[in-house]
Amino acid sequence: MQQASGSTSDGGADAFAADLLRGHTDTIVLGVLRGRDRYGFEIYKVIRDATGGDYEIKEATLYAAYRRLVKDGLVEGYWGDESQGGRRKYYRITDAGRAVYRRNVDAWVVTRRTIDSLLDLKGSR
Amino acid sequence: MTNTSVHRLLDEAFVGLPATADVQDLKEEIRANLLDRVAELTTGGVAPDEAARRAVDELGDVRALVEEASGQTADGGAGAPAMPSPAVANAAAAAAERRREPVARRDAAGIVVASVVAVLALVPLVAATAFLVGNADRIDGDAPEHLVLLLVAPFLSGPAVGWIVAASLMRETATNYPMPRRRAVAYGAAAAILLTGLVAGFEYYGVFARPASAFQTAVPLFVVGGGWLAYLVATQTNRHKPWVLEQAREHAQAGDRFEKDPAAAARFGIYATIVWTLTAAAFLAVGFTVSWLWALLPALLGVAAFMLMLATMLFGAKHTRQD
Repeated sequence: MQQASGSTSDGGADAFAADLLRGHTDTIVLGVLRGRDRYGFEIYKVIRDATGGDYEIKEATLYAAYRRLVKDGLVEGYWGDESQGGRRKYYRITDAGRAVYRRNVDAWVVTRRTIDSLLDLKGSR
Repeated sequence: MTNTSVHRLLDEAFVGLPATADVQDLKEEIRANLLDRVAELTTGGVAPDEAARRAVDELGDVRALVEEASGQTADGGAGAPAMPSPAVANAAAAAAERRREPVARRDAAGIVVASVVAVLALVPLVAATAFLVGNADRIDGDAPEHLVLLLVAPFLSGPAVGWIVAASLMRETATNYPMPRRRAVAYGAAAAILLTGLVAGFEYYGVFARPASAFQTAVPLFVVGGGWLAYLVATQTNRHKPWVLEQAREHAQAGDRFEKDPAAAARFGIYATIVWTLTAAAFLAVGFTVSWLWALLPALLGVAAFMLMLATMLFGAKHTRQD
């Protein structure tokens, strides 16, 4: 896809970013579901568009994330009622999911500040 | 054309895997998403077959995921999809472990505050009611300050209970995550409306002896508050922490004993009948000879014996299995 052409010069940086992103897959999915219920491809597309198509999270990674989130009760799955084509499985965030999302976002804000200061970003900004 | 190609590739990915309901679910979910991706690619000008191939390629390592879903352990452990991601796992662990202690302590303080609020809210109602019931002949006469109290009471006790409901729902406990503020406030408001109707209806009926007014005031508030509350309860999503859900799953498995072992279930039924028959006999005997208050004792003992029996037979499987 597109990212193959863009990542020729700085593959290392891309891998770093993709790794960082993948570590937060569950929280990202929760964040995407916060607004309204969505199905797999929609979630995938939202994430892809948000990253400018550069570092997409693999769909298999997302399916694994859905399974974990459902098991932990942070998300509920239900089948849509599409008449034509395949039936879509929608995901709905639960109150537990919202609580975990908030907590993880708070943790991220603190972590980001720490990393920024450790990487000495204050001076350059 | 495009569709057949996607379906074929999907079937290939699932070849040799047990067709359990869980795996079938996953396959159907993936199928719908694949079709969407293929549609997107073909609109972008990619040839149908190429689009199908690319969509399936983009999926990544579905095999490991499917094996996990089907209950087989991926022995390579390359994908290891069963492992929780660090993001949620850490937060959940931190929430479950570190927070448990302070949560309990704040609960105690919250209960004290809630009790004080409830008592304060109910004081005017109780005081005025006691006064007016004691002086029933003077209701229309000269007790204006008590009438004011009575008029104020529903608007005090309703919101007070609503506040308690909302505040306790927003509180994190060892077993539950806190409810989002908006939803908790909605619960509180619905409870407040319901209780305002209840108290107002009670006052009109019991204190002022006006059933018609009681009906007119209480019923609309009751319907609105009750309807809202029912809607909230019906749309309520999970709030339990993961370890609670895990425990529930384990208990559900333990509960299978009676299903797996019909003989044990039958024995349990006979024992239960014996326990309750003896309890009823003792209850009646003590009730008629000594007093009905003391008859509660054998009843309680009967309940305890029944629970003990349930616990040993349902969960302590090893004791009863060999006979």
